[in-house]
Amino acid sequence: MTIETIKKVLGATVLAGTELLQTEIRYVYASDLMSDVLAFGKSDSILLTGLASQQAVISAHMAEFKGVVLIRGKKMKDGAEQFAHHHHIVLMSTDHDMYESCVLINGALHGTAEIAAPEAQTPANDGIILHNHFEIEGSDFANAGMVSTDVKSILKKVGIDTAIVRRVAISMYESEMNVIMHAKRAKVDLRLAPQYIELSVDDEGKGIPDVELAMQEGFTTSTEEQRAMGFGSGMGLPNIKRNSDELAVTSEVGKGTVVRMRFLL
Amino acid sequence: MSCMRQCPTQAIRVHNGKSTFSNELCIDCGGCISACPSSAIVPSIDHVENISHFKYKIILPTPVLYSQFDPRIHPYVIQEGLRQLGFDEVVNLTLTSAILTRAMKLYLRSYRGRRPLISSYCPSIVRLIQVKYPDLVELIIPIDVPREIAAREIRMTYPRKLGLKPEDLGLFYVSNCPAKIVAVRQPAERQKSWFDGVHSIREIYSALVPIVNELNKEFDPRQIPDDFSFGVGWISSGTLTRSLRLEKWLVVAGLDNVIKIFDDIETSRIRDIDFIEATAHMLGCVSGTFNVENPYVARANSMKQAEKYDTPLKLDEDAISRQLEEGRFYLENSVLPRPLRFFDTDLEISIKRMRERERVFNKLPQIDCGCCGAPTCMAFAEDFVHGLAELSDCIFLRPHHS
Repeated sequence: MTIETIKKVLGATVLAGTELLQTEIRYVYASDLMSDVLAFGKSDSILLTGLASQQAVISAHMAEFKGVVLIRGKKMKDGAEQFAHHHHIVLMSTDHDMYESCVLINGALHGTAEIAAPEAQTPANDGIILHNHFEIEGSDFANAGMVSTDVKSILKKVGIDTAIVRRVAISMYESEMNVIMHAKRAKVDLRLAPQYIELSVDDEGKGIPDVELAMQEGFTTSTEEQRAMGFGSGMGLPNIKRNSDELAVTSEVGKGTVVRMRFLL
Repeated sequence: MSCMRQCPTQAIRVHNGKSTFSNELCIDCGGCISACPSSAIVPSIDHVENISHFKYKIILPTPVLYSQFDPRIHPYVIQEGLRQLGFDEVVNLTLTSAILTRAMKLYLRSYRGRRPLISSYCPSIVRLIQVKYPDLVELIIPIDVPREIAAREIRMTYPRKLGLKPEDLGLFYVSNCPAKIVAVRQPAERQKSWFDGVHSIREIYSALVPIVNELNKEFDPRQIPDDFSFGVGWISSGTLTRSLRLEKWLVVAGLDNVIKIFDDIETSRIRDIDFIEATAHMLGCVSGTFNVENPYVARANSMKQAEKYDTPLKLDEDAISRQLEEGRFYLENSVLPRPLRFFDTDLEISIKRMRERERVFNKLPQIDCGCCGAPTCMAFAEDFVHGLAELSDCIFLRPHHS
């Protein structure tokens, strides 16, 4: 098998040694432990590793390997490309993790998998979901807004469009305030997939007797004191409805309320 | 590592005993300069000597400069001291501040868009919004800062007034903070600053103090010309807002507080506010990094100076309104968000990376010790995902064999 084949199977990008892709290899050695590579690695191998430092390339060179593949999209940070180039080692990077990479190479070796074209490798909807949990304590006014801020910072970091981030942040904040004012505590689930953002706020509290009524603008069960603090103007759920693409509210009196909102990407 | 912990945008990393910082995240606040125990972080500043090739030199000091002096010293004496340093003329920026306050009031009155609007005079705040709150960029009031408006006015009128070639006119600013130095050196809101150079208060002060002390001994109030005017400007947090006389306002100072308030604007926790005055430093410009005097003393000085020396200004309201309409007070270029540093442009990959961050973060001790060279465990997890850190940089994840 040539290094070129490995590159295709893993959809890898070459960081150094493009001219050496036709080199034949006999083994693939997958490890993050460089002492193992030196102890057990056979010559004419390619190293699959998550160790993104010069150490990996040096070890490969010592063990007479022909190439190094960095997994999970890692990049070398300390000039390892030059070292690899100098010692005629191919350096590549793949987005797959170690296990996936091994399976793909194994499939290619035994003909069980086609050599995947780049598009085919991008899993369409195979549950690329980020799943995070948060908790809100009832009456915890001092920390009001913390969960919304956390959710917001995750979405910004992922690169979600700012207009959508704003809608999510507003909806989450309204929801958070509802819990703080009316419930004992709540669990918040954030699910982020390439197609949508879903937030579900599941509280333990007195519940809402008439959900439809609660969805009307201006309807409120807040106390005078809460309203004096600027909360509970009866705009919470209507505001979430306005800002989310899908909203489902289910409630059981005496137990609690689940607010599920979705934002389409 | 003090600088790293201090940095409000987590732009600093410490590796092998050396600090490095990310240009794209730096908002020029100067927190690291003040925090460094060994004064290793030095801003690059111009030197007073290289100004001799200008035939007519005008200095426009930040009004903060006056607050560095005892209020018993007349501001005129301070200006006279500056002239003796080699400047032909001293221009007080507070007249321009007063005009811009008026213009801002008019702007706020006719504005119908999204609220709250945010003051634009603290450059670090403008950078903070560009770097971390792209969605709030549209809320920055597009009114320019007094120093540039005043400098442009001088550039437009002085050469003819004094029969000078434009290049013979040298305009210099004195800054109380690194952010304004950067704003003059590498302005983001215009092609080029209207100034030729910028000095720090610290630098000017040491040259100025002996002269001012000498002059003060022989000072006679009769020396003050009739057209002398003085005002304290927007140098402490809240002065601008007070002079705007608005109903629904908020004044916030200190980056930690500002960040919380900006988060609250984004979640819409802050509602029903028309105007926010935000400054990076706790008391506003009087707490700037390059000041010599303690910020609280400087603020007290400034308040006493306002009582003693403030001269009433006669503003031509109609002219201001007309000039605002003509666009005279607006920022030359609009403020744009700086690109956020997210994990990947491909959403799927980015989500995977975020999952990786969460996974790594959960493995970390979450005590933000900083030994790895990143300010927080979260920052470290993010660096790792960006490929900028090794898990073994964390002393808790390091094998114990050594």
